[in-house]
Amino acid sequence: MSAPKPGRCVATWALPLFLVACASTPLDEAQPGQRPSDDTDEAGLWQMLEREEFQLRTSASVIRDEALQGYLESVLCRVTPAYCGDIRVYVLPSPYFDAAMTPNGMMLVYTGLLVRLENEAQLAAVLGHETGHYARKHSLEQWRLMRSRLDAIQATSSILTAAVTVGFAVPGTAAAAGSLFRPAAAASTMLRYSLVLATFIEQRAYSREQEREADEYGVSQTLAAGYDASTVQAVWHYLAKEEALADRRPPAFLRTHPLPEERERRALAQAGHERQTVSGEADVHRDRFLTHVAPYRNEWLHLARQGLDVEPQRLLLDRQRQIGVAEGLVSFHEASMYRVRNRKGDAERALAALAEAVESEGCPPAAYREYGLTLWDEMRTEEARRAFEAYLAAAPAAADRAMVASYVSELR
Amino acid sequence: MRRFVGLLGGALLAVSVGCTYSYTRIGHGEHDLGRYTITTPVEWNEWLARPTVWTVHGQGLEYLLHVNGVADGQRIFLELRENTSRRFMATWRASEVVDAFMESLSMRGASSWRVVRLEPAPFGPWDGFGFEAEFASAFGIPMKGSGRGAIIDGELHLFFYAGAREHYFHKHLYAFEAIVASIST
Repeated sequence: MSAPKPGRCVATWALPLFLVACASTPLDEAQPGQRPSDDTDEAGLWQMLEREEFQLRTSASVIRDEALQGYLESVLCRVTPAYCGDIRVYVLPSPYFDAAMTPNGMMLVYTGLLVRLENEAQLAAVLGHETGHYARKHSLEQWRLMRSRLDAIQATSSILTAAVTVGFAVPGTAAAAGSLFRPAAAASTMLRYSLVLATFIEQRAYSREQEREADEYGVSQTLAAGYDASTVQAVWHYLAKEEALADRRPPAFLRTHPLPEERERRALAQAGHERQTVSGEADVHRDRFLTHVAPYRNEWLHLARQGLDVEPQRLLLDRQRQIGVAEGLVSFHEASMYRVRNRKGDAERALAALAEAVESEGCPPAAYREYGLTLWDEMRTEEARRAFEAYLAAAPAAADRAMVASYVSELR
Repeated sequence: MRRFVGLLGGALLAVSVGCTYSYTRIGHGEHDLGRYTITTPVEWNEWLARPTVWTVHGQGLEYLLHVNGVADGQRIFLELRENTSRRFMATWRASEVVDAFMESLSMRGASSWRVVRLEPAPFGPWDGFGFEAEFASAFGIPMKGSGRGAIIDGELHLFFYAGAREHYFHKHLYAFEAIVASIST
């Protein structure tokens, strides 16, 4: 009779235990206006996030503008009227295309997202997507999934440790078990790590499934609100290009979100299919969206470009042109991109872009100052002086008026 | 086993060192900073980095950054990643220095920064510039900052004092102003 093999024996018991613990229960959709009951884990999550939201409400990082805030809330209420009173929108500065939703109704919209969208229909789809996470209680699902997996791993680990220790300590089997102790302990460690890795990969897959569900929810709500949702796929099309230029692209099975190519395909199919069931004339409300973002676009573009290489920046600026942003502003940013990179030939490129900017519509006053500085570098002092004077005329109350005036004096 | 314990000990030490700021005391009075001397009316805690950080109550509340001679082609903030940090150019004027400095500060977590004043100002015996800025700290605290700098023989020298707008900025602003006024060779 051969000696017992603790590793195999324990794995036989542990794996079913782990799998049983993995069973997750689908949750009911969130009821508008309702808080979770105080004796639930959901209420615990809410309380934790309410503390976070309290800090956010007083944070200087949040962009506070009544007009912008009112606009975002009006789009949210139009696209998901049922949850209009349950969700608070916060706009935060960030270079990235991102938005987030917490289980207690705190929605974070990042400026990197707003600067990449081209119309209200796309914004509605994003707000609808985030509301989908709220309505379907995705965060709670994730929370419960992770808790059940970690509990199962903990239980499995305890059983493994006990089994290996007992097998080693039982009198009469000590010699045999002793020879097996090391491989058994190594096997149990391997099993624990494998379960942790499996949980991590499973959580990612689960997250992607939730994102697909939220995407569908967002497009459905967008269509139901009377928007032309066929424009949503353009966002994913652009993001696929941006990702292709990124330094690192995680493998599909490690991603929290589906590939943008897949999201583009699904959005297009869904918008085409469901459009037939919605009556009335659909619109994208491009101008309304651009008007509300316009006061911030210069600042947000600046932030969105930070830390990017030239190629992704160029893509972002091309996107601005495609959206219909004034050429003066886009060329100004193009020049800034070259001035910061400062490689061979970049000074000439920056100068050409600034010359284009100051001749174009929508040129920010700062472009004249940058033009003056670049001309000065090229020793074109007379033109530099005129550019600085143009800056002072365009921005009479500029914070750096005294400094730029000193440049003019020096150039005289 | 012994090797494992050694590795674990090493790792714990590395983590604890990595999590601890190492400050040294800077007493009040005159200090030789190389190119020039300054006199501080208060004591600071110094954290050696580039820029050097001086603070009284802690960096989250107030700090004084000192850029002490960054040469052409070098990064102003050494710890920032290559592609997120501006390299100083000796041909820059004040406008470019301040933009690059505030941009670098924002890469360390400051957000919504705005320069509210920029004007010519002396830096000891040299022609320089002074500026004021407002921003939100990485913790969302409204901050105010005041800076004074100059390009001396192609190298950037700059002091930037910042603090929580509500209380700490004004508390030691006088010390920053005294330091700037005391710059001498």
